[in-house]
Amino acid sequence: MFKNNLKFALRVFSREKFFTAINIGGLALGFAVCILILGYVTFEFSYEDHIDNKANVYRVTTTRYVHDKKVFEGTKGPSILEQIVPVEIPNIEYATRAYYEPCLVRTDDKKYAKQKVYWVDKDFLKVFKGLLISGNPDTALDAPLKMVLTESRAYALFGNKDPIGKEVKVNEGMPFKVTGVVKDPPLNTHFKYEYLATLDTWVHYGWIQKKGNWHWNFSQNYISISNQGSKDKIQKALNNLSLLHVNPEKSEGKKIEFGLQPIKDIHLTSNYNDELEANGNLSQVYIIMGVGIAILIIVFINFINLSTTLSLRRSKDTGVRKTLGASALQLRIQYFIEAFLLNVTALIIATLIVLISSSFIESYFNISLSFKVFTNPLFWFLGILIFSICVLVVSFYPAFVLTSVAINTAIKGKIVKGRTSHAYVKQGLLVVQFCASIFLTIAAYVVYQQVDFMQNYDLGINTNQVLVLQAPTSLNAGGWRSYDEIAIKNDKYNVFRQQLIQNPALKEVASCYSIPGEEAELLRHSVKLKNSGEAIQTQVEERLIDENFFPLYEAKILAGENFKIDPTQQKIETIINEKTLKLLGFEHPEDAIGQEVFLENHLWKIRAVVADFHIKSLSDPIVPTFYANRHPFAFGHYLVKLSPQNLKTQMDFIESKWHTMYPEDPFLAHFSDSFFNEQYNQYKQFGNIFNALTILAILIANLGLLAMVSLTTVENLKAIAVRRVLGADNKAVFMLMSKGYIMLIIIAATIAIPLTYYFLMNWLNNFAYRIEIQSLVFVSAVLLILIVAVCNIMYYVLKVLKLNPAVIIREE
Amino acid sequence: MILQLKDIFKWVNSGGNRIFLLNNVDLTVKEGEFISIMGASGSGKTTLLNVIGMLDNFDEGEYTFLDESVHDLKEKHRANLYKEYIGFVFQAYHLIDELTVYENIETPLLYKKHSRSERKAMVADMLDRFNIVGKKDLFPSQLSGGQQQLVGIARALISNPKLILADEPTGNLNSEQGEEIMQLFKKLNDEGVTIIQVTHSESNAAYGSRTIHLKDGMVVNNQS
Repeated sequence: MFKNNLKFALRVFSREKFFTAINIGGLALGFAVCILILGYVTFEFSYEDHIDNKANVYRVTTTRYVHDKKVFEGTKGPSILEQIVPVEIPNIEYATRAYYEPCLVRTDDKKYAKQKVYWVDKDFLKVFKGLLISGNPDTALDAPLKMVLTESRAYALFGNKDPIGKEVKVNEGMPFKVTGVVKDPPLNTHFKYEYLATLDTWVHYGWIQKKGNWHWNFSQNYISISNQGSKDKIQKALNNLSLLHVNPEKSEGKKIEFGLQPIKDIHLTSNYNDELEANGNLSQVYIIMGVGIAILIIVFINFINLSTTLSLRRSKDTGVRKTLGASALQLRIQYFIEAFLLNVTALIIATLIVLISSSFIESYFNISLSFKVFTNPLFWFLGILIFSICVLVVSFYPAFVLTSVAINTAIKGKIVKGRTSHAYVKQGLLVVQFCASIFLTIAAYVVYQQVDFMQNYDLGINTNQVLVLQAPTSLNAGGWRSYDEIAIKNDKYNVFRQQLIQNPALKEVASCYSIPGEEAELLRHSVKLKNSGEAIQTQVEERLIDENFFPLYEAKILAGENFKIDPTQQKIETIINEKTLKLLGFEHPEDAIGQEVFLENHLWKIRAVVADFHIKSLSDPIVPTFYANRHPFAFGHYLVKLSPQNLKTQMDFIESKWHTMYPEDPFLAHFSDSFFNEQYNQYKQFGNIFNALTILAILIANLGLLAMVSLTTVENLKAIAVRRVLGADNKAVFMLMSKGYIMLIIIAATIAIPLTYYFLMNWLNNFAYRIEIQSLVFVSAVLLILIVAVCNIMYYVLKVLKLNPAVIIREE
Repeated sequence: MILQLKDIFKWVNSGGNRIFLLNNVDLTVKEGEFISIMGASGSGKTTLLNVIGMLDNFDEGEYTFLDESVHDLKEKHRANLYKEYIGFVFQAYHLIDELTVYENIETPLLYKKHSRSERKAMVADMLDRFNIVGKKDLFPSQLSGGQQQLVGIARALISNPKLILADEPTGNLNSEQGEEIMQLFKKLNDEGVTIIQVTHSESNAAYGSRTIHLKDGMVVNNQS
């Protein structure tokens, strides 16, 4: 019996080649998209899977409140936590600090700049279990100048030789001994280390005290808790400590709270200050999942509509079988078998599409896909179950329609049509499809507009043709008070600058600590005007620049004078931006000049006011900022403004000067504007995925529409022919064929537009600077869908008009 | 007696008027009869045949088929009844296009619990009997009309029905082919199969043992 069913199904497919192809093609595309989205989502949710005890590892975050209003959320915490919490709080097993620095790493014959070095404490490898490949976890990081590196870095530095015991020089030449090798970090971790160096080294050089303190938050803190430990209890204990040691500040309405962030959640839910990398975004993942489900619905609607309409073409066959004794169940089984066959074929094709396209998709959208769920038997069980249920559900309706036609009508071989309940179901499903198409079209366009808006927004500074050089790391000074060391670095810079500026093509050279697009190097939490004595509790940034920074970036000084003086000595003068001006309560820039301000404990004199500009992406508001005139004591950047022509020659010139001036340091350069725009990668990526999915969804929906129009045209052929005989012109024929669809699109638009508006308003609220949604977008999206639909219909109208109506009527 | 219709009415309502498709039809069919139903277009021939075949309902009256009261039966039982005892032959043959001759004849057996080997033997027997063994792997579109109708009859006979209902079985055939089909019916009738056919042609009706004339849904005469 089954064999007969199968054979029959195949013969039906080969008779209806066109519709079968559309059906399978649509399903396969839809399934492929869903599998790819599954891979994307799996990857996004699989962060930190490489750590053995991932469920027990937490990051300690710091939240600041002023009068119970949250003003700051940061990933860093007090430097003493590592020493105190494992002792004082039960169930915390180990703790470690981690401080990230892109460092210069050298051996005698190799040097690599911008290496990902994490400065960590001795228990790091016990907090993060399962990373160490060789070396002793107890002693690998227990003393100054010990270092653990990854397999691939070990290979880069030492080739196939055993790295253990070898020496590595860091930055200005700190000699480290390699004590262990760890696994390379996978792509799905927020903590992408290459080297783990001991923080005790800093103590060894006298840069920091051995004992940490409660007020200096320079590093991330990670803890591992025992299986008996509860997150809530430990968080409470941490906050009791904070009350005891930190919150005496509370007198001014300040409060600090510690939070515990499961490391597994960091990637998708954490968007605090000082993240180690730009994290993912949970709602973005959900939106993409939502679009995936929408595509699946579109695909299944295609399937239901096509199958139902096709099944009515087979009503004669059904009727005959009934007279031969087939029961409704037997007929439905035949139908289910056909549905399964179609869907399984589509699934196989989809798998092939995924296999072929996944690596291209990963690189094109700059995403990672993970298909490791496929090794999980539970996934297969659930997957097959859900797939079968879906197929049963979507084939139930056509099967029901197919078998419910009265034998009498069926045997006459006529296609059943007209205002039956089936027609309503079909139209309802089409409305859903049009809704989805309209929604996606509008949303895709607005997402694109917002990303475009951010990238082309006038920042208030000019980042074009600004070449950013990584300042010589080998000249890092021990700290910002190591004036002699800073002077050496600064003197060299001045010579270097003079050499460059002599080239008429190079317009300007400047230095700074962090560049536009980077986090500020210093965050301050209290500002006080010396005169009024009122402390303002908020978060302000402090950035280190030199006197050429504003001219180079073409920032406007509104009042006062730019920096002038020699930047090696400790300065007490600052330039503020307009946001700071407002914060301090001045109305005119001139009023602020010469005023003295306490920034936490330091007293500054305001020298000038610079017009607000965007130093970070447009998703963040402009923050009150204090600029100090200091040469970057460690790391930092040198900036060169180039002329638009012959960039290559200018860059070659700069590089040759660099190598003679800084023989120890590799030449690392990038352009300021492209670096700045990297901040939008997350949104660009989201926009690209969204657009691609939208195009696909519309394509699939259109495929279905095309087939539907073709089938209804056949149904209506006689009605059209009769009207033509009675004198209907081409326009009337077109109206007759298209008015139903146009009505459906109008209904769909009325449903979709408010939904889309609501969704987009929500999404746009993520951005400090955002576009307004124009009503034109809605109108044009609906028009677009309408035009596409009308084109489909036109194709069949033209086909019908070619036929001789007399012939059609005779055939009936 | 194989079936009995008593005071059967069937109507449709059109614009407040009741139009009778079958009007007070009485009919008794005995086993082994060969009955022809004749009448003008729209006289209710096919409707009557469909009612007999239980493909269509009626509005009033009693219908007894092999001692079962059809009018009291549920849809499912009715289906079982015709599945078991009635074979249909159609004017347009109504073979299933996607199935070969062999498969078309086999189809009714699939809906009853016959084993594979049983089915094979029965279909082979039928092919033999109708002399179409050589055509068993052809599709309907590859056959002439007469051959298709032959297959249609073979398919109707495969499950050994007590009654064959034929709706203008020769309507789409030329006279020579039609003649052959009628000869076949005659032969089947001689072998004991009860046949009711709808026909337009007097000569076809002549093969039957009895002719019923319908007019506007009423039996005009009932000659033997």
